[in-house]
Amino acid sequence: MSDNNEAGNFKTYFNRHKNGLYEYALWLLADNESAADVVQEAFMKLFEKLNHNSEIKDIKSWLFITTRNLCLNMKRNSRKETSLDILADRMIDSKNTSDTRIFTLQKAMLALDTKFREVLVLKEYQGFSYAEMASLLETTVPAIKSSLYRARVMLRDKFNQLKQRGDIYGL
Amino acid sequence: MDCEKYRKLISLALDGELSSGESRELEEHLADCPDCREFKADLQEIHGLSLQRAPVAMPHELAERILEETSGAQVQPRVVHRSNSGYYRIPKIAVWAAAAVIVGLMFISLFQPFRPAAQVQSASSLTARNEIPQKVIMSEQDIVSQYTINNATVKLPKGG
Repeated sequence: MSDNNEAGNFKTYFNRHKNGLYEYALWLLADNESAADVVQEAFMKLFEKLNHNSEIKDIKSWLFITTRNLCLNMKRNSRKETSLDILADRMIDSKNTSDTRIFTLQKAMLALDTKFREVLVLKEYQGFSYAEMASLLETTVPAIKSSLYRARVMLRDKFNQLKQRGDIYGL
Repeated sequence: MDCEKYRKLISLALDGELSSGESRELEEHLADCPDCREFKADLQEIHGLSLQRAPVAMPHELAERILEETSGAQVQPRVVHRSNSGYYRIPKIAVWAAAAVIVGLMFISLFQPFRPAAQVQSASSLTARNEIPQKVIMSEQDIVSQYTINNATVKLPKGG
């Protein structure tokens, strides 16, 4: 049975996935405004699909794939290079980050290449399985395992580097 | 020792993807390798901090906007307008300014009399040298005397 026959209710899917999708787009684009644009467009596409009774097997996967494609298009069209400090200011709400290590870790995440940041966000923040990640990223499970390992090694190095410098609020 | 092999197993263990055989093998290695124990402790710290992070929520205004746009029966495809994104975007004000200049030039050109190019060029070159010929038209009644000097006719007006 298709997922959209369960409730047939856009609002249900919206409430279920809005935060995860927004967080995913935010970490991919590292920009609140762009993330908002992309997520809004993804949900509008879902609404259109549901309105036309189009079959969607897995709403969550469909939403993440759509959001990812929109993010990649946006990144392709925007060649702006933003400094890490500006990205951190946009992304991380220091007022809500009580533990300075969390703040440092998020800065270390931002320093990673997008493809490594993405696998970490999908696994650590969104709780995707290897198979779901492989499907979303159009690759194999062994490739996902390898990417996650490399991403964790890089994140650890960057995190330790920032901690050793004691440079918690700057990079 | 092949530490990289065991560090990959540590990464898998973090995701609960390790078989019991692999798990036993990893524990044996960790007992003898302080570097890999440190690696495991670091990854566990990072994993724990990731779970403790403040949850990211979609901004309330955005959620309201999406629900508002989808509350109608018909879908209204949304056009994303973004300013200053990408090198190839031209600011709107520059487009309007360019359009205003073009329209202004077209408007001015409507009130310019048509002159052949050669004549225009000649007139402007004379103007530059202050040699604009003064064309005086006189009626026959105005002319009181007329002389011929060097085959040129000079007519003098009344009171001249």
